[in-house]
Amino acid sequence: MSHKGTTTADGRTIGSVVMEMRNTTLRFGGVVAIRDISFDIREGEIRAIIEPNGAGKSSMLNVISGFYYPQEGKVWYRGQKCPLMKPFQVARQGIARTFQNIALFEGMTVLDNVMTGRINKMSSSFLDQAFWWGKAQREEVAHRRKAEEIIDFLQIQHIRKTPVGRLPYGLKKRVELARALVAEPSILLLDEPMAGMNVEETAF
Amino acid sequence: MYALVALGFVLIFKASGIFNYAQGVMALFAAMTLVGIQQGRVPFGHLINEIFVTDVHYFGWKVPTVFAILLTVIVMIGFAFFVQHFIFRHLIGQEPIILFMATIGLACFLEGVSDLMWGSEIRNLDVGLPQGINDAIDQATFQIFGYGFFIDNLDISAAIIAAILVGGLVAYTQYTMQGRAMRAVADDHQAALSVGIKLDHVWILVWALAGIVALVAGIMWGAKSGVQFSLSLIALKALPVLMLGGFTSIPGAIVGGLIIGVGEALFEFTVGPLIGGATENWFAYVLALVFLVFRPQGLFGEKIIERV
Repeated sequence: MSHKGTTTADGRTIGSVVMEMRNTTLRFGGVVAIRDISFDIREGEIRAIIEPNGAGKSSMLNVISGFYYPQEGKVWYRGQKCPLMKPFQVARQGIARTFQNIALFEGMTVLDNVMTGRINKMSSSFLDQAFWWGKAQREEVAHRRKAEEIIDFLQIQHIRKTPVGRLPYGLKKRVELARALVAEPSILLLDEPMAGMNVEETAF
Repeated sequence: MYALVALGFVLIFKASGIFNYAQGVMALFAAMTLVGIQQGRVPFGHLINEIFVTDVHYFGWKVPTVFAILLTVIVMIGFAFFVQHFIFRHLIGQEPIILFMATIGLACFLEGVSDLMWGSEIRNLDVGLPQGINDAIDQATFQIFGYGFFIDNLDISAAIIAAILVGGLVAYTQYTMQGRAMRAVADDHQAALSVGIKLDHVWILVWALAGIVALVAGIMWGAKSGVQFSLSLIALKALPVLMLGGFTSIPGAIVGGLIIGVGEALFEFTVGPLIGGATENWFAYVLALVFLVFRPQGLFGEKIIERV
């Protein structure tokens, strides 16, 4: 799997293969959503998939993130030849995603939503957290710092304490992106990231 | 006291989106288990005696209260694993109404099991909490108002324990990662999975916490009126408390409990004699009905905001 890094025109380094999809086919009853798809994703690469509506873009992302099980084919992360994983296992492999029809925790504040992105980085035990012992406390501070960094980066500081349910669509999209970014993923899957955004937001 | 049972409801509801009908029966089960362990009873004694034609009822030892409580906590955690493994694991992503039906089934089942396990006689539960009228308050209020207030020591300790429990739980669900994971799961299963939360673990945690809250409620009620079947009916009284306080609010459960408890007693005392008494049976429900009409989300419930 060793691959010599090459550098693109805008200075990104393309490294080794992070994820590969092999001959994947997904059917819903008689409807074939994905037929025999294979491709690789390399480190540092930006891959866009453009297809008409109903072509199976979202279905494919759902296969990658473990929400759908393909009838045929394999999805490998970092060359691990393991069977298909469940969504939470995929997330633990360092793959974060956003959804086409935004899936945020509507009743929680923006900050809490972003903090949930750090759940996989949590290492303090149940008892640590229940009694708020040293480790849990230190961890919380570190996670909070990272969350604030991302919140600053996406310029959503002013709505930190607002429940997500009250936000307009464009801001929700940004919060979802923040939640995905804060996990420091090795692959970031964005499903229709620009859908429903105005010119200004797209430029941002 | 009502607040304690209501708390269990709110906790599970907030953390998993399930309205847990079995909370009252869980309190009963926890209290019975505690008494059973304390007195060194043989679980499923009747059943064993029937099948093997023996006559064993007691192991012949008494377990100190602290140990008995610890053991009961372990039993309740085991129960959480059982519930998750056999029931709710298979219902992930189902409609809330289906989950609610499942908890009704669970309530019936647990009622039967606790009967079978520990027998159905009324038991006294003594965990060493102070009982009887608090003389200090009686004296003090007599000097100020000219009347003495009779407040049971047990009620005072219940209030203190409830306060500690609530403080702890609020801090836990609001400020720790696991608390956040719990709230995330309640909000949206799919989104929770996508950030890497394992639903199984969170639900076990939620049920274990509900079990512990049920145990505390069971201890308090058991100490007050004996451990008996009617303990599980108290859960029904928690429903008006919740409607009053709001289904999603922990402070709401407490305030609602106080309003219902005090209102009930006052209403019986003032209006009761005029209409023939026995108002305690329905007062809470009528109050809840009135609340549903004028403020469906309760006193402290989350305002229902929907952006269309």
